[in-house]
Amino acid sequence: MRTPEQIEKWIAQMALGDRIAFESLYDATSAKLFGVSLRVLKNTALAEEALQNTYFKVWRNASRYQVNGLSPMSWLITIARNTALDSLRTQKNLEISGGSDLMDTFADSKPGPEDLAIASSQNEVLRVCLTELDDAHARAIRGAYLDGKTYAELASDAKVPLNTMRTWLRRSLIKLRECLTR
Amino acid sequence: MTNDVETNTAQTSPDKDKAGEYALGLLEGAERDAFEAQLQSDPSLALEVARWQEHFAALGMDVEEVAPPVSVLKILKRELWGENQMPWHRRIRVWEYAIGGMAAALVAYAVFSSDAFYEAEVRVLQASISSSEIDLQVAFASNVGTGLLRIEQAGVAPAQGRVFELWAIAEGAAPVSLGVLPQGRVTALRLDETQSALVRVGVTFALSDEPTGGSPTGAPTGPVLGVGALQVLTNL
Repeated sequence: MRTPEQIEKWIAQMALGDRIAFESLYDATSAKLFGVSLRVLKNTALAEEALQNTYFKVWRNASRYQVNGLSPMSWLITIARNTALDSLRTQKNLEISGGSDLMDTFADSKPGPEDLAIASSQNEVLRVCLTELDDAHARAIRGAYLDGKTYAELASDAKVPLNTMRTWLRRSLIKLRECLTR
Repeated sequence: MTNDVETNTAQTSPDKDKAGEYALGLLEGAERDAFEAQLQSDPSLALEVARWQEHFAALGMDVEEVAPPVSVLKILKRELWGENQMPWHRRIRVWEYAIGGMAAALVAYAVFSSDAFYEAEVRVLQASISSSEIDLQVAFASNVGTGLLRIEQAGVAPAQGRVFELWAIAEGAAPVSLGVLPQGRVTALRLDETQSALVRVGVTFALSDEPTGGSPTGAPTGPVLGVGALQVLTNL
């Protein structure tokens, strides 16, 4: 994996139409992003298509990177994961949040330098904070993020009523937020 | 000056608690629609979502890498750029595409020769201007050097018989015209050497309202719509 500085440099060059920077970025990050796509979609053909769409968006939105508030790998992973989730939900014929229009959300949020600094230090903390949750609750959060599961699917997996799962998730997120901002 | 009273009620919106669920993709139907409507008007909520996404991306970092087949990159390159390499000066079209989604902004890029274009030390400068008088937002970015100034604009157009003129103002110096903004969302201006030399840190860009054809005097004659200082966008 390359340094965040190197990845940011490529993204900045891509914003100016630099194809060599694009290929360098692709070489350095596509295995990670393909892994994420595969994890969400569990289907090679769909994951390949999602990966293409992911880099398509990355190229198209490179000029927005400076204002999106995410560190470079997080930015790429978020696009890959949301693109794969879009595809998954399309397969399931559902329309649920977490989709590609989040890109627009980032563009509008305009966090300052302070926010960016905070964001870059947040990456590792989540794993630690997840260990403070009940195993079943942490598993549900992973299932939602990495497997694109809906509340109904998470409830079914955990063999609990839907409302119980909602309550678990919401409480877990509040706990997580406390831990993450500690 | 509309909602001063409302902004004083600075309590946490109930939607803030849903930012994590939204980032996970768990909100559905009407609940999601309501949240997204709120997102549009609440930058702090959008930032909250971005923060959750940053955190959750750590889960993605743990996923095992899998090399994608070579065909993926091949197809991508064909879709993005077609089969043939374009000469550098025609890439303006590609940029147009690359930045096509950027709304409410006017962006200008100066292009180098293709050699300089790929040099590691290219620096990109940017400036942003937003008008307090009219609905016009401006964000400039430019490579340091001679070339083409790329422009993307949003907001109001000039009145009939008027144009927006772009000026570069070095410290203690008189404004130098960089030209009249062409009509259209994505356009470009070609700079001569003197003008290009003004694309540097410490120089301020300004937009003024002028008669068709630009200022007749060589100095701004109409109202100044806004100013913005050139800054380093990033060290490329």
